[in-house]
Amino acid sequence: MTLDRESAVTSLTAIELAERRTSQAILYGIASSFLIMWGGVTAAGYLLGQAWPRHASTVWAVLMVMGFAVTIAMTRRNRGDLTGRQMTLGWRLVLAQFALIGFGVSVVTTLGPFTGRQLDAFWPLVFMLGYVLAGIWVGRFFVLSGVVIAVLTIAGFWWSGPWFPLWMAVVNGGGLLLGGFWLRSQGASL
Amino acid sequence: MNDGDPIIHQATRLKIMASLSKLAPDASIDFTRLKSILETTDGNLGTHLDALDKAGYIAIDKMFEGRKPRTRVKATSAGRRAFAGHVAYLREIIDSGGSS
Repeated sequence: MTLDRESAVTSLTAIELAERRTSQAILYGIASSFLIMWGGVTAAGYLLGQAWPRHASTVWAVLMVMGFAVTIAMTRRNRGDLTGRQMTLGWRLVLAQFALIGFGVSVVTTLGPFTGRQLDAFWPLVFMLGYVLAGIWVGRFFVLSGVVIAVLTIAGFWWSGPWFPLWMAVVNGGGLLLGGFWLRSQGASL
Repeated sequence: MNDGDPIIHQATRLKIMASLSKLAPDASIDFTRLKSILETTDGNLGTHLDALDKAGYIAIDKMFEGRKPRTRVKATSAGRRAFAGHVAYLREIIDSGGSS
């Protein structure tokens, strides 16, 4: 077959676009499961905190350990469906979450003590910073989600009165669930 | 110089192979999702998938999930090799600055 340079460039451009769109669909499909899982964990944590404020710290500790155990299990389960490069990105995102937790624990232990309400606002803000930073590389959906949830968290902190945990269950938990289901509709299930 | 692959070179088939080559070797993708990624129609995608299937470049798996028919597609190792060869051919043309 005979091809000129211009046709070759056009073909390679089409290939790059198809590859980029496929990578994004794969990422969205996988990220949706994590967002839905963390949305459920977060909503449960805030709802239980609203109902039994005195046990909130224990509830959160148990839920976070469960959430991270499931995150690691889900990342390992995806191994057969992803290329080496995609798996590397997945593990980097998991490690980034641990780095954010390390940062959060450092702040809480050095600048604290904080009230329960302050902590209820602080941790989502730390994780939403992670969404914004990750989104700069992997897609603007994550930047938008991070900014919207962070702004609503701050609004709730100042204006939701005694219903702040309930507000956060809807805004943070519900926001992640909504985002996760939207991503699932856009992504590729492998 | 490497020879191009006339089966893969057709625009839609080229994009199909590019998309499937981004999946892990054993991973497949749903027909509907592939259609949306490539921004094409059912008929167009179906026709070109058949051509690639006949060439042995892809494997098509038709199944039922409940009562809903599902079609999943993946690249075969022959398809991945052919696609990589065709991409190398395109790059050679660009690098040589002429035609082939």
